[in-house]
Amino acid sequence: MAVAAFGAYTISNRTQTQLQASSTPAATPTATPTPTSTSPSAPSTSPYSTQQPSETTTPTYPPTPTSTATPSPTATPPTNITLVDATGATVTVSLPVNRVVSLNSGFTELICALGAADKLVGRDELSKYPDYVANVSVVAQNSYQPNIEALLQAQPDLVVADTMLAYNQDALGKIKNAGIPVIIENPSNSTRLDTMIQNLGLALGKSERANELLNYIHYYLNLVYNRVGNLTSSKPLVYIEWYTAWRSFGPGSAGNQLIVEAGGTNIAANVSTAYPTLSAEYVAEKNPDVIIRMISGNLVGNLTGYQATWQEIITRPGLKDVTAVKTGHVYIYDPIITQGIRYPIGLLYFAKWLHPEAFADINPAAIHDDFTRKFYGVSIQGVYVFP
Amino acid sequence: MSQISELKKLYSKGKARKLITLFSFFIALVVAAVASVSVGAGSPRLAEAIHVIMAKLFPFLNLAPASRLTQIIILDLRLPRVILAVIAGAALAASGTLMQAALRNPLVSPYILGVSSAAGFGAALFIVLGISTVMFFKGYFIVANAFIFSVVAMLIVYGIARIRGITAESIILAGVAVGYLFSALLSLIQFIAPASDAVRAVVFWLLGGLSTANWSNLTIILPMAFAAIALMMLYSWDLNVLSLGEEAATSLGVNPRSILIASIVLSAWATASIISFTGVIGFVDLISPHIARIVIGSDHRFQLPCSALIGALLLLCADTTARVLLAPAEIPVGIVTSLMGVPFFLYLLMSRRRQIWR
Repeated sequence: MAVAAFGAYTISNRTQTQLQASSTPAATPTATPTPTSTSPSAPSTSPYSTQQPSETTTPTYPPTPTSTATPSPTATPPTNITLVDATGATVTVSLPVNRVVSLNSGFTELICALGAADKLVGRDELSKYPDYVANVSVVAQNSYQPNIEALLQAQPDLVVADTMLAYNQDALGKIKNAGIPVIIENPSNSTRLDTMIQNLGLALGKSERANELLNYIHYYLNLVYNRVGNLTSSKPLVYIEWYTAWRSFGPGSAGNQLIVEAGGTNIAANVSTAYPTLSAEYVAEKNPDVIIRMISGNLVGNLTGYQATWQEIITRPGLKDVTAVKTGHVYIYDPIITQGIRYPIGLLYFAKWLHPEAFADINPAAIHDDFTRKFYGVSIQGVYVFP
Repeated sequence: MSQISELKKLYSKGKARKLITLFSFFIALVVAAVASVSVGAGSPRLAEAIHVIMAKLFPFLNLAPASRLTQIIILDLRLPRVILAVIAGAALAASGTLMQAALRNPLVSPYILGVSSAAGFGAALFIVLGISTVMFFKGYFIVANAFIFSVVAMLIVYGIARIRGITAESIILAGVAVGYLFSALLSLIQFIAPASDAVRAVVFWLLGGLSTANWSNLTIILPMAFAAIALMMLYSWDLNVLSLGEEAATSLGVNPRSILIASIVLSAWATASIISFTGVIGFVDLISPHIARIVIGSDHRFQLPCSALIGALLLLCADTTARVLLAPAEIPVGIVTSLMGVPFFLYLLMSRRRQIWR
């Protein structure tokens, strides 16, 4: 019954004697540098662990004081929790949650990482990772297009969706009218990451695991922030491309944030829209030092696809003569490593591409593998970046 | 006798005026093209543009070479795009003129009759299914596939209209239905193919745009489109005769059926050669023939080239605006064509009293 609490977020000891996900081997990985020896409990490097619980996470009963390492095992388990989601809506979730539907691949990953894959009773079509979620029935195309009948058939205690669902008020209303609480979050917004993990940890009774995950994530985020903050060299100019030619990421977009946090200057940072189609001559004239391009969905995981995409970039009129191509700084990536809880992995790649010397000792692929083994119980397979 | 010579004089006077009109449109197009090459998100302007192009065209002048960047921007990025806008506008407008003449219906165009959607579907289908099969002649195969589907679409429209009796309504209704069919099939590819490359292709062909312009595409587009327009010109006299009605045409020795078939093939060909590379672009093909008819009359020997020049001018101005307005971001060209073309067209429609459309 005893559950060790890592922070103040552990609401209660749920009935299970051992958190299922914690049984995943936390052995020291081979290829990763320093961090894993201190992870997951790396309080000295992670300001997160000293952070106070955010206001958005408000348990309905007085939270356990931070000083108390372990909550009293005899405390009555709360019957519900109330939290505020990304849309500002107050959501009350009755505990325990045993059946959850995820309408976004980022949440699906998070639920699995929290060791609650067994509670997943419905997913959207795009949720394909980790592989074992393939057995879960599909109840939506994506958050915007849930199949209400199939979703209700799954009899969830909780639905988690991305902000697209908020644009489909009709569907949202139908789910709520059925008495099912809906948490809407934005998994591609890394500033919501902590809240998202905490909230789901609370709702699924996996707060301990949530803290483990947060510590891991913040260790690497801080590593990047610190090294980027200490850089003396100038920031490289970066052209980042969506999977359509000349379509880029402007201010307020996830791609822009990645570049900024990785210590680069986005050439589209001053454009008026978030996803502008840039003029080819503008890109040519800006002469970017680094080109980063998203792989298109059907080429994911397939080396030839990455090679073809790379080849197209380095031979495209308008790009073939820029510094990035001449100096060999063209990179193709799978956006999944920049979304949700794998955001730090993507950020590590970006940081290393932008500042190879400062991150010479960092092997993002090894950290990625360590992460997936630790939290999903699987090694990475296939290709996520090229070259 | 004097009456005949009087008529001849009047005719040649009118002919001269029409030639002057055509020539003015040509000059306007050249000016617009030069202006378009001189503006953009990059810094090179008129002087650099002329310098670079002259240096490329006349290497014996030994002009001081411009910077590599200026050369790339002018020669590799702007110039192909300007040329693509001109040829695409011209071919689509000519195609629309031919269809309106052959079907004797002022409300038809490749876009309205679903031919553009069919071409887009054919091209997208080839891209999705055959991406890895034939790489070398890929461009030609895409056009061929787009052409086949364009002809199929036109034959369906014409077949339905023929069974129901060729009235303006039946042709347009059949065309709209076929257009919906191919748009739906295009969207269906997006649904069936799990690949987002397919999605990308479909989105591209539904939206349309000129940003894919490059020299290797132009080497396919230019000969195909020019050949189609030139062949259309050969039929312009027959089209004049056809406009008198099928019986009159037959009595004058023109076979309406063979002209119709030739028109279907030629307009589908011109449309396919453009749509395969630009995606579905509408409006220019419908509006240019009407503007031409207003400014130059309905003698097809003049209306056809005039319509082509107007289409080229319209699409070039629209695309240049699309490139420049929110630079360095670009806006979809379809928005600009409609926003610029519709008020202009409405103005012409309201300002001319005489009846142009019988």
